[in-house]
Amino acid sequence: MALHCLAAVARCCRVQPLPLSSAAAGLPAVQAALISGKTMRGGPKSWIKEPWPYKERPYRGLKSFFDTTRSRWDENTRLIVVEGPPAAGKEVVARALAEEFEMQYMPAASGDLVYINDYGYDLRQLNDKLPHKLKLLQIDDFLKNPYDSRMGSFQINWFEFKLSQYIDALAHLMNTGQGVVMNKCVLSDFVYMEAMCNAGFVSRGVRSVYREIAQQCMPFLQRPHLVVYLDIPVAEVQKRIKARARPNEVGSPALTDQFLQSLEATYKESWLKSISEHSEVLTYDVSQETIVEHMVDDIEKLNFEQYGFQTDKMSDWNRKSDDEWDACRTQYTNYKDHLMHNMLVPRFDVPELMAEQEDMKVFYELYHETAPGQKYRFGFNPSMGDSVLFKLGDGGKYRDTTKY
Amino acid sequence: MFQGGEEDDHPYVRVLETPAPERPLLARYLQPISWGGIGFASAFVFNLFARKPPLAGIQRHIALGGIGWVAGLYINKWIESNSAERDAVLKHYIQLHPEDFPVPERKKYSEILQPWSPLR
Repeated sequence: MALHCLAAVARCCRVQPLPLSSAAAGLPAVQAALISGKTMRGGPKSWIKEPWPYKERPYRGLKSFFDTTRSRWDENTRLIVVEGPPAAGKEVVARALAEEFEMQYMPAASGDLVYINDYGYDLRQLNDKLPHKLKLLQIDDFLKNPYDSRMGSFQINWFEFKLSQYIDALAHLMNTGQGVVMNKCVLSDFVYMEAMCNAGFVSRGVRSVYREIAQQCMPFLQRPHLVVYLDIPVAEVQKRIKARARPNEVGSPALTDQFLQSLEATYKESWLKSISEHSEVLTYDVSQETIVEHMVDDIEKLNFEQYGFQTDKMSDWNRKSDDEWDACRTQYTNYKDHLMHNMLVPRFDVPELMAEQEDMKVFYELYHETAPGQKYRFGFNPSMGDSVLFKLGDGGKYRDTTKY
Repeated sequence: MFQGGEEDDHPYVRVLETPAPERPLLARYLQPISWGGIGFASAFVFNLFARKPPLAGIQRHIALGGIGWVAGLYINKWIESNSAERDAVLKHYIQLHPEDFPVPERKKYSEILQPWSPLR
């Protein structure tokens, strides 16, 4: 407990980032400061600077001379990811952590986030007219029929959305200096693909394409500072699924014991092992009860700046100069498509992932041309009432994955 | 042409220096129109790649068309000046070597054709 009190005393002083010259010399710019929670601090958080309105104004080029990325970073600018098997209570824990540390919460991928376009039109309405192989699927479809041949492309589409969300989280962190708590992230998505392949829901060809896509996308992402893993045994997962009684989950042929065991095994043997080389990992057994205060206490003791250049720990966060961070921020905020295009892997050997040309024509006409607000970028659709004749620029809206 | 004197008075040079008639509008303004058109069209391509309607941001169409027009004027001037330099060099050569450019003797057919009577 003494260590805890020391940490509390240290937090009472306001933390200043080191002057930029020492940052240029390769030292971390923020002094050894620990994440400060609302409860222990007892008073309002002091923000170093106004957040950059990245959703309205782009951050490019000359602006990097006037606005340094690290000038907004303080001890709470961390990326935390909450992971675990289904029904572990990830959303509750993640929201509680986000509220306690005054960070932004980013929800798990859901059909609403993926399929409602910027004008508020729900693209799932097109499903009746779309060809069978190209229908817009959600997790409910997986739970109803996991052996469907479309599950491979569904999982890859979900990966695409999670990648987009992760990039948005990094952009939020860099532009505002506010930390982000994510409910499951793109880096652990492969455990679901492995479990699905082991259970026979998708073929090994799909898994091979997925692995190649993931391999191409990962080098450009900063790994999180902290991973909070909520551990419950498979029997408890099944019990909780029955208890919360969501209509599609109960009696689903997908959530078998074997699938959940394979999920847990891959999480622990593969994901946690590899991510612990970089991030701090805290594992909690939440089968009996979930006490968020204990998690907050443990997190407030973590020192993210103690690692130097000899180890891989925190290497994604302590090796870059100011210019490199500015360039990162530009890419994540304004040139996100360059990162998303890493997903375009030329693999044509898996027939489940290929669609017929006639179907693609129908899909293109419905999805990209006739659906409201889909033909042009946001802000430039005359059919939705935008006046376009004198409008230059990006359209003024950032695809927002933080609004739920 | 520059020094003055009888060598200026070669008949070929006199012919080459008669003033040309006024060219039609399209011929005179071909370069500005073409390059202005290229600039204007490139704004459509820009909008296509940016996923915008073709005529969005008409300022871009006007600006690129204007830049193309001015570029066409300067390109036209460059082409004309090149042609003028070539013409001047050739004319001066004719003036310097008049013996290589004899005015051919004009003969009538009556002097060339031999007498012929229409008997077979």
